[in-house]
Amino acid sequence: MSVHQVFRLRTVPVVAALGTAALAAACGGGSAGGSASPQASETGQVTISFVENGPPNFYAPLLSAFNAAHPNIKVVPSSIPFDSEADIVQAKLSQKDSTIDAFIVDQPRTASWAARGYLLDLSSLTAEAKQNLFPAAVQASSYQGKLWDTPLWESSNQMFYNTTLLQKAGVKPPTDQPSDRWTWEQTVAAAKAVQAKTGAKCGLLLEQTDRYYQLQPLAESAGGGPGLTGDGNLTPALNNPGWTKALGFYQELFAQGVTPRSVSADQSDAYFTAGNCAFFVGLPTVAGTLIKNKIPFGIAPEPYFAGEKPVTPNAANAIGVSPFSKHQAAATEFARWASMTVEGNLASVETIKIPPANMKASDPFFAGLAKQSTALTNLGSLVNYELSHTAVARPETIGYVQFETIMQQAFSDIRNGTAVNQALQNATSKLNAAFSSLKG
Amino acid sequence: MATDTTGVERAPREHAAGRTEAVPLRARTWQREGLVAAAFLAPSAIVLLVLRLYPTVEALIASAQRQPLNILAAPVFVGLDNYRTLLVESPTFWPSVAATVIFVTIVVVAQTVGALALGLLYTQHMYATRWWRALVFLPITIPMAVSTLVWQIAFRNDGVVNGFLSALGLGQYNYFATRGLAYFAFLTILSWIGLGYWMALLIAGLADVPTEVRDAAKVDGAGAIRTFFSIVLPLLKRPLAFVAVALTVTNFFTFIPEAVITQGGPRDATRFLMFEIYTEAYSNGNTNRASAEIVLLAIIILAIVAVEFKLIAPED
Amino acid sequence: MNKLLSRTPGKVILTLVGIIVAWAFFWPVVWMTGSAFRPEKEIFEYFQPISIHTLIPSNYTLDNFRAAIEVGFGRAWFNSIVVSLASAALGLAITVPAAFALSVLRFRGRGLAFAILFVTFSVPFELVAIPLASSFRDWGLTNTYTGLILPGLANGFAILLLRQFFAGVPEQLKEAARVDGAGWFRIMLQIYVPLAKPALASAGLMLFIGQWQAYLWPLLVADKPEMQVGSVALANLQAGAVGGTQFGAIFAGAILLSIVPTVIMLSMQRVFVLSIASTGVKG
Repeated sequence: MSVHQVFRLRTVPVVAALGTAALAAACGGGSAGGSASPQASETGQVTISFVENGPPNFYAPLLSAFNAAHPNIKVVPSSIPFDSEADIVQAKLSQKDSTIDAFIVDQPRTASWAARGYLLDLSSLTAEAKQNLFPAAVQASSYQGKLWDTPLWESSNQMFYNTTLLQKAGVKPPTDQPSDRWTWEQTVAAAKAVQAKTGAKCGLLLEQTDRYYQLQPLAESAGGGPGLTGDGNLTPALNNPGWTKALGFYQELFAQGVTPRSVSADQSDAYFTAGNCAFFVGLPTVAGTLIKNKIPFGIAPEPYFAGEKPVTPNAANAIGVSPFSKHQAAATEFARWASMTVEGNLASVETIKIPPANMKASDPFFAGLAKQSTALTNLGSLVNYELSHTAVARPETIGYVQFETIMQQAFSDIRNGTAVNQALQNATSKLNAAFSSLKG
Repeated sequence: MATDTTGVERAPREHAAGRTEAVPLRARTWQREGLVAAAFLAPSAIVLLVLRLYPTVEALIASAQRQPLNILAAPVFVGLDNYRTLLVESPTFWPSVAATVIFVTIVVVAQTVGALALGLLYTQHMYATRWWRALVFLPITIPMAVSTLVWQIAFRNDGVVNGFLSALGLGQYNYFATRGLAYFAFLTILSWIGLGYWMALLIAGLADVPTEVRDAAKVDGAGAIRTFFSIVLPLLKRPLAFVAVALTVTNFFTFIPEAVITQGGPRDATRFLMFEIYTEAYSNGNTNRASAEIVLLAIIILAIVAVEFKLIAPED
Repeated sequence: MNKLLSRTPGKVILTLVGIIVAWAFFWPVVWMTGSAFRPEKEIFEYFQPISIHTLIPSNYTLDNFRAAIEVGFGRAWFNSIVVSLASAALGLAITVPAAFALSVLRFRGRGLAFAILFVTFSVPFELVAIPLASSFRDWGLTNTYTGLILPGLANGFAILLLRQFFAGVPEQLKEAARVDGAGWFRIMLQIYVPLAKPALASAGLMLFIGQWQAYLWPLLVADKPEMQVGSVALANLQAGAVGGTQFGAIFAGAILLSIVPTVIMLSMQRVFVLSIASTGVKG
């Protein structure tokens, strides 16, 4: 005990922070990791802060709708750049910052943040969640059987194709029916044909270059599994034919010039919506820009490996509540309303047009999209089909952030020509080193 | 024999300027200078103490602890365990040290020479000098993340740099696929951003070389190159020492290019120490291991900087 | 060499060299400016083959500037200027005496102070700053200019730079003043500081740019939109894969940001090239 006291140099700040946490705990629910339900409702005007990751005014429809529906709660946004939001929120919560009430959580990080005590246990909302949200979405917000954040959006990948380019090349486009799903092999062949006949710089473009989100479905479709296994998913499992096949395929896309080598994840939308590519696999949000840029397009299900099963990605953003917040009831109500009410959930997708996590918001959402283009008529049923039949969750593990980062480095090396098994071996040893402090 | 104010007889001592002074007077002068120095140092010292030293000590302590996963649990003292993990077990630490030292050496040498060359060029007599200097300086005023993004786009396989090279018939390159090319690209980016800035600092130093000294050497028939190496360069020692030290530390600390473009690739070639530390501290949230790396990095930096200082301006 | 080349042909050649080198630094800025005026979807065109349109847009639009201003960039721009200028001014006020003490005064422990100075800049501030940001919150300094400015004053490089300069000033000046009975403060203010204009400009520049480029610290202590600085406001426009990055708006904002420090630099150039000789004091 005395050894620890010697090393507690921080005086005032720590005392203040501990004092806040103790007070919150005394009020019945401040500590994390199996905490009790949120505090009893507060009366009077409450202002809560909502840390989100932009772009600017992104969540404005959600906030104004919520503020209108809740006269005694005011939500004030605090915008942090997309790439830094998770890091900054984590940094502040590690200091038990009490000025953060609600914040955006990238769903795959749920396990990691819950284990560290950065999320308030929202089990009181579980029943309502199961009633209103897609099962895949609820699963992505769960860790050790409890609900830790409220899903806002679902994500899915569809294949988009440039109608003009395909017509010019005389290539018959795929349909948007899951029963007619193309294989990756078919897609590449068609892409090459379009490139040969039209001189297009790009045959097939995967939206999130080098990202696990984009490549997990390929590996899973090839039978390789998510790449992690064992107790708590803390053991790398990359040394199998499925991963080798999937990443070999990825490497060949670039080596054979089907995919341009240096279009990064944040430039890929711009690249496809300028009309450069025959095929594109990514989030349905790209449709908005395609319509704006007047590029004729069609949709199709995400391809799969011949003879294997189709797999699509899922999960996106959720709202978490800080266990150090002084307004947990209000923040929890915000999280609940934005996710589990149709009005709230629709407001949260108004700017970005990404599929809502709320099952009952799904139909109005897709109906609205279909009005913008006939190509999107069946988008809703396609997404719902994928979410129910082919969507696979990212592995539930407290080491998810390290895993995602290390996998991204491996994918990048593979894209640039490193031998697949060497890159996977390298990744395995890095993962073991990164997880060593997390096990036991 | 002289008598000082305390009434004690002292032997007079010769002062450099020819005046004599008794010993206790000098001791009292030291004391007065010490008090004055304390007063002059105080504002900076307070700011540095609270805002730099204190966090550093906190980091030092954190490096000897391990925080259990749950943030509410108390940190556990583990002594040198974090250091052992880094130095003995980590598959990435030593390669990262090697890559960082190699890369920083290349960049510091290139940028010192480059800044000096630019400074010399833009202190010559030419038309509208201050406009060209301002253009060269401009890049440092752009947020580094944006500059990096611009160059990432320029270095795309289908980008402008390759476009320029193929117009000259020099072929196209995949800049972030091999260590050599990646270092070249990073050197270009960092030099574009910083050379104008370091040039501005050196110009101020160059200005101190009295022109009469340079002109006198010319009258004696010394050529431009000899003038430079035997007259100008030695007089530049102090500003050069500063620039070398500042360049070294700044380049040890850059991490935006590797974070934005290569994520430490290709094959960990750009996995520099700063990237490791940021990843541990902010992304993995492992403050303890990150603190240990910060301590190790500081030791490396201090060693190199001390050597630089001794080499370039030994009399200080 | 200077006398030889001050004849016009030499001057013209030098100017040409100067222009070519300056162009090597300037062309990306021209591209950025062009892209700021381009419609978003044309930003990535015209890379190959190189043409005049690589740099000069074929279609113009002000949409990107409008987008940048709409998201509150104007306010962020203002904040960056205030914070950086204040840091330079206040920073000089405290680093000049400290550098003077470290170079001119003799006292026990000077070596130790020097060593500590080196330690303070060998540690990357923004990586050890997480607990400090928490302390700033407890002291009520979040979302204040003070909170943004304070860490920028702790610039060991500025002290080192000034110290190097002061150490080079001839000792006789100080000796003469001491013989005349001048106090150290007067000596510093009336002898050393006037001589040090280029060094002061340099140190001020370091303090300014240090704050101008700051990103992580402002993120930790300023989360209200009206207190954000330029670098953060621009990063807000990078949306990752969701919603799409607004490249045009980012470039528009970056160009706008670059104007003020460049103008300051242009107007202050005379100070940078001042020499001791021209201030009329001989060693």
